[in-house]
This record gives sequence, structure tokens and C-alpha cells, in this order.
Amino acid sequence: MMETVLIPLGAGLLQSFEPLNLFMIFAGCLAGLFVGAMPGLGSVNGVAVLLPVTFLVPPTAAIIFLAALYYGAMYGGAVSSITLGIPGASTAVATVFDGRPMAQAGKADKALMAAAVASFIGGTVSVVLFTFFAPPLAEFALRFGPPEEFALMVLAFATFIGLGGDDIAKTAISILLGLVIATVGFDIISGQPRLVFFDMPELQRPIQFIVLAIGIYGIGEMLWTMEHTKGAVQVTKVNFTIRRMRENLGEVGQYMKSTTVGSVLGFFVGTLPAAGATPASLMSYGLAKSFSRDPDSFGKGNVSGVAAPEAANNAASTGSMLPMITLGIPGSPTTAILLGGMIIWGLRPGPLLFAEEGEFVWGLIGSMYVANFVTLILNLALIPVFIRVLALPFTMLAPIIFVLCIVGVFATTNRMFDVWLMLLFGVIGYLMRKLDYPLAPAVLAIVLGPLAERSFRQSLISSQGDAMIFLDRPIALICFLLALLLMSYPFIQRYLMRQRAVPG
Amino acid sequence: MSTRIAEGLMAFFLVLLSATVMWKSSELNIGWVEGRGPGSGVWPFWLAALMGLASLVALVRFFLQMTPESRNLTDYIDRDTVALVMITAFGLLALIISIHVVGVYFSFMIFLLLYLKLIGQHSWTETMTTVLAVPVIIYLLFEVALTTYLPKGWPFFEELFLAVDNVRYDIQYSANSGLISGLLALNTLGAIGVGLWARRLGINPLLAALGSIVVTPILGGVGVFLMGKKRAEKAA
Repeated sequence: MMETVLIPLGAGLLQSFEPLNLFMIFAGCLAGLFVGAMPGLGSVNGVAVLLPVTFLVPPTAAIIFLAALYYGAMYGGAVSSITLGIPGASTAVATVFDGRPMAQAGKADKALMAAAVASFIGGTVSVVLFTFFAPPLAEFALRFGPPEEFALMVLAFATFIGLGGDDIAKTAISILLGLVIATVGFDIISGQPRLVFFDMPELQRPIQFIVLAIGIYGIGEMLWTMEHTKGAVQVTKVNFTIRRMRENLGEVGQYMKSTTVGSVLGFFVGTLPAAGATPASLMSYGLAKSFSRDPDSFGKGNVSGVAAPEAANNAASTGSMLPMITLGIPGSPTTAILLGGMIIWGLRPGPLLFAEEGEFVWGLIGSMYVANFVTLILNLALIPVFIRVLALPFTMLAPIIFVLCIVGVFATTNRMFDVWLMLLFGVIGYLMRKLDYPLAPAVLAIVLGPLAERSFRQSLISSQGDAMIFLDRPIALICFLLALLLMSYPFIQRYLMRQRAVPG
Repeated sequence: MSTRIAEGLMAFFLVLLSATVMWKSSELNIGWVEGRGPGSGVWPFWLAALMGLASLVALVRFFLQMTPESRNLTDYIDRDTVALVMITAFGLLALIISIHVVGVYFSFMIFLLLYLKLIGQHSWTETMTTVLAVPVIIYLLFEVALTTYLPKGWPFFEELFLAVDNVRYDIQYSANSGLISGLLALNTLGAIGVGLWARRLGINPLLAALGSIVVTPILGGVGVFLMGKKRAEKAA
């Protein structure tokens, strides 16, 4: 335990106090608070649009920045949920239920305080869990060969079908579309040109995931948000004084229990690829309500109803990094983009990361501890500022984001062709989103596509074409069975519902 | 167009797309290569086949009206939205076309100007601050710090920016680069300060800041020149 966890953790903590890294934590938390608080922008939009900028700094500093942004966005979402009554990000939907009534009753400061403290506890609990789960999991995963890797990826896609809650056919289309886009360019094993439509020379290079990610989250979502925020927003006034802050701090005990439960729940839900922060916060809200002595007060301004989802969404954001770091399977769309970034930085994601890039991994873990403190402090100190920023009209922000998207894509791939593709993906993404096609699976799929194909073909080459290799190895078999179970879960659920409905 | 029709068209389009990808990958080997494993076309072919299957399911569900969208007869994109979203989408299209002609900087400035002024109806101060600040920040961040050469359009416009680049290289690689960039940074900060101060006094902050950013180096230059002259006279 000492050698495997505490010593590298200490080194990681020291590393996160290096001036550049510490600056990155501050900058990331600030950017995260901003994107989280702006309705229509979430961590995933921030990470997608800012990833090209991080090529300025070494990979460790870059991932620290993006991880801090991820964190900050979870805190920031609560600010607009409470003061505007609109969730700043989908992860903060549950915070509106009780945060809004509290703000209307003049207790916005108490709600904001509870959100900040709960987020801090959620983040810290889950980063501790992360620290102790990650090394053994990575060590276990070292035994994985290509068949297990492939099985894990199938499992990751199966969670979207089983737990995503969207139309199953549409989810499958989204996954497969991402995988198909990833196959354009050339065959990774033989190097043969592949899917070069109309013999366009531009299609002889693979389409980078960032083109799809920025297209969907930078262009498509902006169009979608524009459609939905046509009405003017009303910012609630917040009284924020040191004296009331101290009073509010004394009342932390009221929501301690729901916060702790939410934190642990959030971490584990966050590790599932399809679940992530939004369902985690909703589940945590539901749990807090059903275990409360006074469930009727929920929805009318119960402070536990603010604390529970906020603890869970922060915990989930850390949780979703666990499979990304240890297995190379992202736990959320945001971590999918982080994973893609790691590939661009020249790191090879997967269980070997812990062994080969220890400094990178532990620097990230160390920074998560520090980022929690930094976000708590920044959040409390800057609440008055953020409330003013929220009044920033979307018509000002949107064109700046569009411009950044174009430059970001061009700077990453150096081709105008990709800028055109980005616009195409953005518009198609918008049209699909309006028809309830989930798009996060597509982003995950384009990142995992080449990795999945490689492990699939390596397995078949090593077994000389015998597909039984996927079923002979116990871990792979378990993954496939789980995947099958997950994929049939919606059908079983529907069957059971029908059974129950018949006698009633 | 109603949402129902859009749902059907999207599913149909996806079926077509899958078929196209299947046809295209079947130009490669979609079978087993003896001693080498699956052929190059296997992976995309079967993915597209699965996607085609899923799209067919979506199409069938549309015909049987099993999804909420396939029963929704309201407008796919309602009238209010069409204005905003279409203008934005076509604005983006025009923006990317104009990048090929006048380069990123001029097209960004035109896009931001039109968007902020016509759609956002922001004040001239807000508009012009954004229009001037965004390209400068992009230049510093991407061309200076990240050393990416962003597209500059036709030769005429490209040469304009090559002149800017030459000045920058002179500064960046001269012996006094640290001093000069420090002074430039100070000048910018000073201009921001002047702008904020002017806003308090009720003067147009943008004009004040622009004036400061131009006048300060001139005054500074004249001052340094005079000081040098005096010192030369004293020495003589």
C-alpha cells in the first residue's frame, strides 16, 4: 500500500504545486466554473473547444487543466440552476428542483453554499476512492490481452444501449455512425486506403475525433441552445456576506448524510460509460428524498435536495476518470475527449499508463485533490462575479465560440477540409439531436473505434481466425455476457412492466 | 416540414448511408485472407451492415409510429427558430467560404461585426471591442504561442499579414525581444486601464483605449528620442 499508493500520491501532490501546474488548476477551475454556469455550455463543450489550446503546455499540465475544467463545470452548473432556475449544464438538472425554490424564498446564498460544500465533499470522497481503486484495477487490467480489450469496449457500448434510456435503435445508430466515421482513411493493419469516397485525397487521412467532437459540441449544441434560450432569463438577487456565510457553514450538518451517500453513489455510477454525472445526480436526489424523514419538503426548498445531486455530480466526474485512466475506456463524453487528447499528446491509454507514465497519472490524481480546494475557494469567492457574468447575452458568446471552434479544428489538423467537415457534423448533429438521437455515444465511438478495430483484428490474427478466442478467455467471456445482459435489459424491463400491467 | 416527415427522412438517409458504406467497403476484401486475418474491408463492412439494420429498425418504427417523433405533426423547425438557426448556420457557411478568400482574421472580424450588431443588437462599444480583441487574441494564442499558420486567403490578403508577421519576427527574434514585448504588454494593460477609467467618466471607453494604445508608444518614443538627444548634447 505504502509503495504503490502513498509515495506516488505524495509525488503527485508535489507535482501539482509546481507553478505551471498550479496555474493550470486555477485557470481550469475558472474556465470550468464559467462554462458550467453558462446555460448551454457544459464541461464537454469547454473541453472540446479548449483542447487545441492545451497543446501549448506539456501533457501533464494540459490534462490537469482539462480535469480542473471538468471539476469546475460541475460546481458552476449549480450557480445558474439556483440563481436562474435553468440548469447551467445537464448535470445540474436535479439541483434546480430545490435550488430554485430556495432562491425564490431568499435563501439563494444558503443553496449556493450547500452546493459548493457538497461538491467539495463529493469530489474529495471520490478522489480518495479513486486513489485506492485505480492502482489495483490497473494492475489487474495488465493481464488483459486484445480479446479482453475488445470485450471491454463492447461492454462500454452495451451500457449505452442498456442504461442510456434513449431509443435503442437510435442509440445503436449513433454508436455505429461514430465507429464508421473512424474507419475512413486507411486500414490500420495493412495500410490500404479505405472508404476514400469520390477518390478525394483528403479522405486518405483518418478523420480526427476532435472534428466530430467540436462539430457536435461546439456547433450543433450552440444551435440547439439558441433555439431553447430565446426567452430572456431572470437572475435572482443573492445576498452574500461573510456573516451569513459563517451562519450557513454552521448548518452543514443538515445535509451531511445525503451528501455522503450521494458522493459514494456518484463515484460508482460515474464509472459506467453510459451513466455519468447526470443520472448520478438524479439518482442521488431520489435516494435523498426517499430516505428523508420529511420527503414532502423536497421540491419546495429542502437543502438536502441541493446537496445530494451536487455531491453526486462531482463524485461522478471523478468516477468517470477511473476507467479512462486504468482501462483506456472513457466513462463519459468529456473523458472520451480527454482520452482522444491523450492519444494526440502521444500517450497510449490503457492499463500500461500507470506503469509507463506514472508521473502523468499521479500528477493528475494529485491535482484532483488540489483542484477540489481551489474550486471550493474560487466558487465561494467569485459567486457575485459569476452572477454578473450570467447576464452575458448568448448572442455575444455564441459567435466567439464559433470562431474558436474553427480555429481550434484548423490548429489541430491543419486542413480547411476538416473545418468544412466540422460544420457538416455540427448541422447534422443538430438535426439528429432534434429527433432525439443521442450523440454522446458517437463521440465515444469515434475515439474508441480505431482501438476497438485493432484489438478485434489482433485477437483474430493470433487465434488464426477462430472467433472462439473471445469466449475461451474467462474475463472476455464475462464482459460479453454482461454486455448481452445489458443490451437485453430494456427488453426485459418492458416485458416485466407489461406482465405487471396485465393483472392490474 | 413536420417532425414526423423529418424522422422518416433521417432514417431513410441513414439506410442509404449504410448501404453506400457497405458498397464502398466491398471494393476491398471483406472476407478472410489466408494467413493474414480478416481483410481490410471486413470491419467497416459489418459495422455499416449493423448500422443499416439499426436504421431499418428506425424506419420500421417510423412507419408503425412507435417513436414520439413519428407521431409529432408539429413543425420540425418552427418559424421563430428558422430565423435564428438558419441565419446562424448560413452565416457560418459564409464565414468558412470567406476564410478561403480573405483569410481567418478579416472574415472573423466581418462575421463578429455582423453577428453582434445585426443579430445581437449590441452597442457599438461592445461590438467593436469584441471585433478587435478576438482576432488579436487568436493571433497571439495560435500563431505566436502555438506556431500554427492560420489560412490567410488570397495572395493580396496573405501579404498584408506577412507584413504583420515580419514585424512580429523582428520583435520576437531581436536582441531586445524581452524588453519590447514587455513594453507592448504594458501598453496593452495601460490601454485597458484607460478604457475602464474612461467608462467611469462617461467617455467612450473603446475610443479612449484605442487612443491610448496608439498615443502612448508615440509619446514614449518621442520622450526616449529627446532624452537620448539631451544626453548626446551633454556628452558633446
